[in-house]
Amino acid sequence: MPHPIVTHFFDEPTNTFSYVVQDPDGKSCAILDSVLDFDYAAGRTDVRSADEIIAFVRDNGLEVEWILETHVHADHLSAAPYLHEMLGGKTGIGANITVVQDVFGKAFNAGTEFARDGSQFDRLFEEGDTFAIGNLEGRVLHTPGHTPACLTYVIGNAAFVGDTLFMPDYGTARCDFPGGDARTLFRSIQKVLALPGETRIFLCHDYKAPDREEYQHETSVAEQRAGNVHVHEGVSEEEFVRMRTERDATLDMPKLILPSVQVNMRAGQMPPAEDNGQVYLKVPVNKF
Amino acid sequence: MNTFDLSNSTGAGRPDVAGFFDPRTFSVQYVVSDPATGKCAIIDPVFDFDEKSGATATHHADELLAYIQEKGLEVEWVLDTHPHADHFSAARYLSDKTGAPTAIGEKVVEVQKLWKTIYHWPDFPADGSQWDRLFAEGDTFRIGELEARVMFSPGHTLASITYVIGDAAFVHDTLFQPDFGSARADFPGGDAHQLWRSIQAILALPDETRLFTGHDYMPEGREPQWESTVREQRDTNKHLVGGVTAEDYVAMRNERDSELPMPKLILHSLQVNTRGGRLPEPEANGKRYLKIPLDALEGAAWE
Repeated sequence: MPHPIVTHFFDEPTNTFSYVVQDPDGKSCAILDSVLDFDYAAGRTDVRSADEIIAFVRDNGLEVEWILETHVHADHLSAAPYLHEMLGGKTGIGANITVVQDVFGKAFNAGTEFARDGSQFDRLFEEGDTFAIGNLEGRVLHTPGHTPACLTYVIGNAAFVGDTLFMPDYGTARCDFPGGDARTLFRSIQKVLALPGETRIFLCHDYKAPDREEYQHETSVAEQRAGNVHVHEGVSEEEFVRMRTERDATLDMPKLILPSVQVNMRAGQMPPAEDNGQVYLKVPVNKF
Repeated sequence: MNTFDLSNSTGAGRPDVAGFFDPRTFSVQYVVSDPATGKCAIIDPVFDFDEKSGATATHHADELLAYIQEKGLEVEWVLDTHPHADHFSAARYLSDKTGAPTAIGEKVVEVQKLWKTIYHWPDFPADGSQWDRLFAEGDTFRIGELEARVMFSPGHTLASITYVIGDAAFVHDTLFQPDFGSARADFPGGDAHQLWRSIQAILALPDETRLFTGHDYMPEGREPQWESTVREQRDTNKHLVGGVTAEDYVAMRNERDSELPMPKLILHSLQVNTRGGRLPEPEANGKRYLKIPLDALEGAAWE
């Protein structure tokens, strides 16, 4: 089983891990789940986090073949357009992005300029699709539940699971966003846990956990099966759904959900400027 | 947490002042009443807003109405000291509920012009017509038999005013409690020199004047407080004691402000508060949207 070189980048304000996944036998790489820095209070964006990735790619002489998203994130803005402009590469996301675009296109009253067909991305992946990063083969698992469009990218012996599983001591992703579903997430997680036990699992987020002071981003299928506090072996679908639903009812919306989804549904592009040249995000009042 | 306190009248012409604290925005709202006539004014009421979900509510405003009803008071004014940058004003809601007129400082027109450009509202009337009355320095009005006077107190915003009602002054974002200091002066239209002068005018009120501030941030984890006197502020305010000069103050204020991120609701709040507490008009789908201008505010520390 190929063993890709995986380098992680952590954005502490949003607890997000971005990754550069590299062919060990060449210079090809993919970038996963990048972050555009955003100061909501002042309405400011910055590319500090993306520039770290760019510097890494250039310092190592890498060639970016793919800029991938595991899903339409609700807690940070994607830097995919900026990375694409600076480094090239094709963008990709799950084919069910069209479902997400339809829901949020309506919620934000986006105009007809906003296509709901996923055409903002170079490729829309479905379950079982494969793609190449140099000599590495990437394979796609459709793993909905957190959102309808969530994917897991399995690249060699590494799986990038997005918001399905978190570290074993923290558990699993919430399922209460529009289009989320706890039962669906449980079934998606079973798909991930059916990978070989030694498969490396790379997380999209970590929030630490009680009794743990360090952020962690990597675990394995075997560790998750044995010890995930929400879905270790022996937890039934019904038990999981009950736990997840009860827990989700106690959670606040993520701080950046409204800014994030309207940008990420556009593949990280900002909405079109008004006729004064100024770009505005929209906050729907009493919609969610 | 203590979120309510009543400061009793000490004689004719002096108001009862009920303070209501909103822990979410650290704001203090007031019901100022005349014990002789039962007439009252509401000052700086909060319209609840959850920026994460975009949901609004009227829990705090309804709490004020419940108090007013319980005490048998009659609302004569719904007042704001300035267009707030950290919460939505419930003035419109409370005016609709009570029939009482709304008011704010006349310089709100300048604030409207500023934000009309930022929000790109070409048709927005930046003329103060969203309020029933605009107050200028020295204007007077009555709450029952209480005499009220307006002091222009710019600095935190260019439209801030202080309401002096009997022996009570509602200073909002000029002075905070002595252990916290004073308000920031770095929002669009803010000015530390002006704030210093406004504070000096407040400190020139009689020593025993009761001062009611607009926010409390509970330094060192103490309970919320919002009442002090002119004497206490002059003797113990951490930004004023020790022979602080205007130059010292401005230097301190500007240095401190340069380290502060924007308040988390400034871009949300101003588009409601420059409209007198009204939400934006609905779009064609019947839904209302606030606008967040990107990269329009420069200079503040990163959040």
